[in-house]
Amino acid sequence: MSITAFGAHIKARRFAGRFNWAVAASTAGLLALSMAFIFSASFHAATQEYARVAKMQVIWIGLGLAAIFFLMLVPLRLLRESAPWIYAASLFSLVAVLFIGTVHKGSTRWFALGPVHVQPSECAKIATVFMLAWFFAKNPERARTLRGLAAALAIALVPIVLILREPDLGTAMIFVPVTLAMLFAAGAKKRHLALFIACGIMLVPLGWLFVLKPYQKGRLLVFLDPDNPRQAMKKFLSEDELKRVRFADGYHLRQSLMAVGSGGLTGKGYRRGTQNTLGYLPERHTDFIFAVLAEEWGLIGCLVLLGLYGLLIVGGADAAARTSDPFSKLAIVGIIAIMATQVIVNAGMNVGLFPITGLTLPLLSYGGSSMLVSLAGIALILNFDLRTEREIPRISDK
Amino acid sequence: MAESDPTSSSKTPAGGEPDSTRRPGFPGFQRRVLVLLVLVGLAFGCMVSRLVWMQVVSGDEYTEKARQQRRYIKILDAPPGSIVTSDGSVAATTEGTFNVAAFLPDLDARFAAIDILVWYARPNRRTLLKRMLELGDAVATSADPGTARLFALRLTPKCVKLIRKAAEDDSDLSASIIFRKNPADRELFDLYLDYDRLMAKSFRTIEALAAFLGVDPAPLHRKADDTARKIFRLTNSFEYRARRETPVTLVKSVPERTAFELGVRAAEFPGIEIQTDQRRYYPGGQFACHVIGYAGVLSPPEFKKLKAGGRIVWRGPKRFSVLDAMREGSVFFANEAVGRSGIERSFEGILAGMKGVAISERLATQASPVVHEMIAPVEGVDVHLTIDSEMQRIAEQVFAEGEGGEPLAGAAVVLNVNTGAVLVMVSAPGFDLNSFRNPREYEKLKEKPSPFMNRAISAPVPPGSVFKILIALGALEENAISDRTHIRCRGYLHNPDAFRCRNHAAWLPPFGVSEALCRSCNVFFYTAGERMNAGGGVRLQEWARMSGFGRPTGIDLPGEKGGTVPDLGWKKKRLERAKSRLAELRAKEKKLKRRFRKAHEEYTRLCNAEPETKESVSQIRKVENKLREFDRELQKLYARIESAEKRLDWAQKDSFWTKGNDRLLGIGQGGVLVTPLQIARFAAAIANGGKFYRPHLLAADGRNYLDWRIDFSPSALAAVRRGMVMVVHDSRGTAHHRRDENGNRIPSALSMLPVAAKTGTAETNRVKGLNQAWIAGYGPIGNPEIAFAVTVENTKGHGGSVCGPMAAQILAAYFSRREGP
Repeated sequence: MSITAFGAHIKARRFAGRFNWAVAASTAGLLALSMAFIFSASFHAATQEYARVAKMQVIWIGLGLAAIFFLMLVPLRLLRESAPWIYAASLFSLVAVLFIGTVHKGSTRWFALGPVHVQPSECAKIATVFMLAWFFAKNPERARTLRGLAAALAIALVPIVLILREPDLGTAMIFVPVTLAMLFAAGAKKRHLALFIACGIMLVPLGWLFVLKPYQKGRLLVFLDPDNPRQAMKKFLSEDELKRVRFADGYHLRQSLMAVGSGGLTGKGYRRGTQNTLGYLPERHTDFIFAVLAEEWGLIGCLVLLGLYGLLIVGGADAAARTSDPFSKLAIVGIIAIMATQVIVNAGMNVGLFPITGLTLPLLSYGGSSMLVSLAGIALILNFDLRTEREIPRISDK
Repeated sequence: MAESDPTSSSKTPAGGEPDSTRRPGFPGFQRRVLVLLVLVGLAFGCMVSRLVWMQVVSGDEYTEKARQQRRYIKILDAPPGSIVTSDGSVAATTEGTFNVAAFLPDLDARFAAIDILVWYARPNRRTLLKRMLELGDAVATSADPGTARLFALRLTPKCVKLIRKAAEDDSDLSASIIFRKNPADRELFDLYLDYDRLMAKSFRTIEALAAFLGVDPAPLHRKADDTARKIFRLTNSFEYRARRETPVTLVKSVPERTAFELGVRAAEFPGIEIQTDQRRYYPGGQFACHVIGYAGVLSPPEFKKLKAGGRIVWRGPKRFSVLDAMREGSVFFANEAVGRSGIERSFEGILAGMKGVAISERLATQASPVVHEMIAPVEGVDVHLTIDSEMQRIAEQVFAEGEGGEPLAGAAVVLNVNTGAVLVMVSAPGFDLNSFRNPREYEKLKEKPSPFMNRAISAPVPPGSVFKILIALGALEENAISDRTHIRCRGYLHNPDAFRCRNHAAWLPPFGVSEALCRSCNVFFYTAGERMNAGGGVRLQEWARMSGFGRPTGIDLPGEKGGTVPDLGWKKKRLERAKSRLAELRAKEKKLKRRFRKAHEEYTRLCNAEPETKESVSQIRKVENKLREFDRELQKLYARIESAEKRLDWAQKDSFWTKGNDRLLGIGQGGVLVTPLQIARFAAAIANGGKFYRPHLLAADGRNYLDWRIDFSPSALAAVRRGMVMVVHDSRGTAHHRRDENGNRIPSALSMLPVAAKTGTAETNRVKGLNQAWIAGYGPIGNPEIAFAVTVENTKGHGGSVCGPMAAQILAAYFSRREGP
């Protein structure tokens, strides 16, 4: 009895020491902010009612926490060895969604499973990260050969192409920095990376000419001059394309800028944001939740939010640096890269630093798929941190 | 992590430690992760600096932008006040009316079709609408109208394919994608395939509505369609939404009963609704039209005048900044009716009240705004007039009945001699205040002689013999004549010359001043006038000016004229004016001629040019037309120059002051022009012993309207009054009798009343024998209460015969009431 109790005590101490409290705490903080601001964003001043999304978000967070618990139980080996299968399954779902997906606002991104809609591209992000981590962990030398890097790029390119077919430019573009970060972390030579980046830059004009649809170009161009978007478009688009540009009048960007800017230093107060509650801000509970926070809590709230994300990212990087398992190292870097990129792009588009794409703010925006996948990513970080040997042991381990 | 040495970790695997061989790691992993972290840190740094810039440095700018976007202003109209006469009858008021309006999205199926197509098929709304309009204008000659129409809309081929498929097969997956299995949507889609069917609902509803209201349906169709097209063309989606939600007024001011029935049968008229509105209503119609005046929309120059007068005029949209203007004072909007004449104009400020304003937070969605701040409107104040509605009505009737059913043009004024209050002010012909804007009515009005001019105050005319009262009084006061002065009249002044007198028999003994007034002897007053101005003086003119002639009386109505009291200065000014006018016309002529010559040169050049193309021919046409127009203008100009030359010629010949001028002034001719109001006020001054009150229409505001007083010597006043009494009550008087059908002298109606008066007949058109007939006086004789002036223009009759009976009818109402029923 006493021995068991002592053993449990030792186990608890080991858990407490190994558990990544920084990641967990920042996640908890972000989830709290998410619930608070989705509640605020679901308020409708005209009817004095709250939309369903606040309730739904609570359900998603609950499910996500359950997923964390479940994923913490999965042994590391099983995760590592199943990476190719997960990748294959996700590719299959990406192909399938093109055929049996639901059309919404012109793109086929979702599976309709009864009342909920599942977005396979969200899962594909993590699956690809897993696949790349598995690929390099098998043989770290691959990162230093051009052949190995080319193979890794192919792994990333397949989902990119499939997602571009949906079309979902924003999600597809996420893969680029994530893949590059993983290649870099895996030890790719600088000249190889430079070569890839140069090739990528050369491909940009081709992409502009052949891949992008007029409305996508329009949205990118709105970013240049939100107050007078037509002007910029006339410069860069042909007559025919100009006719087919739609939904690119800069409304979203203008409203978002007004929301963020009018927040000021301390904000207008929780649930007192006029851009938010009066309904000027579009997509306020998903893409523009950052603007809601910025309007109601001002610069101080933004700094708190960015601080939490910073803590999450640094905590994750810390875990990656300390674990000894190569697969875990790279997988954590990939997951953190996804998070960081999404935060930078989403917050950037809210403040007019990036063109508007349909990217969510991880852990904050409303959306089942996004929330579950983000929390799964967090779970994996915690899991890897807990289960692998430490290359550089913590003080508590000694 | 920061304390870890990057070199040590990168060297450990290379060093061949057992741990790294067992599990090969990534060289320099920690350093590389650190680099990545620095990159992320840089990005976060950018973000923070951007946030500081937006929220702290330029936060106010965005705050203002957001505020302007959501605040919205509603102007609250104040109900204007009524105009009430002294006996309490309402002359102008504001009443609620019902308008029939169309709520276009419910009426016109195009709106719904467009919404559905834009949503499901996703073409650009603007291009879709454009095609749709083209379609409606010129489609339907193809064998397969459905396909033709779809292609005419130039949807993407994929979209057309989907729609075709959906139309053919109900169970098809694409149909469910497009129409979400909603039968209502599908019905609209079918409608959309057939433009005529799409429009049928609107067509049917408007036809039914027109039949119900008994109006012509064509303008209603046009209005609904034009508005819909205008809305379709809007590019701003906010504006588009706002405009389509605003009902369009189709028919204004329907009777209450009709509005009620329409409301009951609403189901039969989908998309038609009843709006309440207010309008200015004049229960009396034509009653006192010139006094009351009307309200209308101002023209831009009039706006400028208003602005110059310190009123705030808002011409732009109702934006936020209007608030500051409204806090400062009464604001007028460019499209708003403002008092334009009469009392409606002069008391606009108090009648209109003050507009209020409600500031709301507008939601981005179309829900009702939440009122945030409000300035309540201030109701307009009623204006009470001094007008006696019974006498006014009779006076108007008198003019309308006229001589033997022929309506007369002229004016009548009755004043209270002790206050200056205007009891009657008529100008004939009048117009119906409620319906004169109606085009048909307006055409009819155009045939009448200047119906909109208020002849009582703004049309000075020669006074004729009425002026003799002033001359008699002035001459007595100036000692030019005395009570004992007797002048014999033989029908002309000295010899048979231009200064004739045909007002009485030529063989009578010499007249004193009273009898001269009674008989209206010209010779007596030629002499009096000449004597007053003896030795080159201008005492006559001074007396005229002292008695209020030659300048406005200052009545509280807009557009009053002062008339003319001629003297040498006036003649010189007239000459100057004629000269400058002619010079102006000549300059114009020169300019026109130069342009004419230029056009002609171009014409010859074009005609000689080779070869002749289509363009050159059309250009020649154009120049030809131009030349023709120049020619017409020149002809007009020549006519004007000719008349200006004549006028100058006359002014040059008549540029000296002669005795003849004084003599003519003595009988109220020779350029002197007065308004009936001035004459009435002068008559009032005679009656009250020299007190000149300012005539006014605003009742009982406690002000003393006495402008000035002249202390006439009692003997002079008595002589003049005696003369005026004799005009009516002495058998020799010009207004004492009239001739009946058999030519017998019978006492006139006026002589039955206790009034004193003076008649006048000024020649206005010698060729046609037309006169300006006058009668002016006061009553009752012993203790005067009212003074009056009645004038009729372009009549063949004389003051006594035309104006006398009219004045008698108007005054009879007063005296009968005074004596009690």
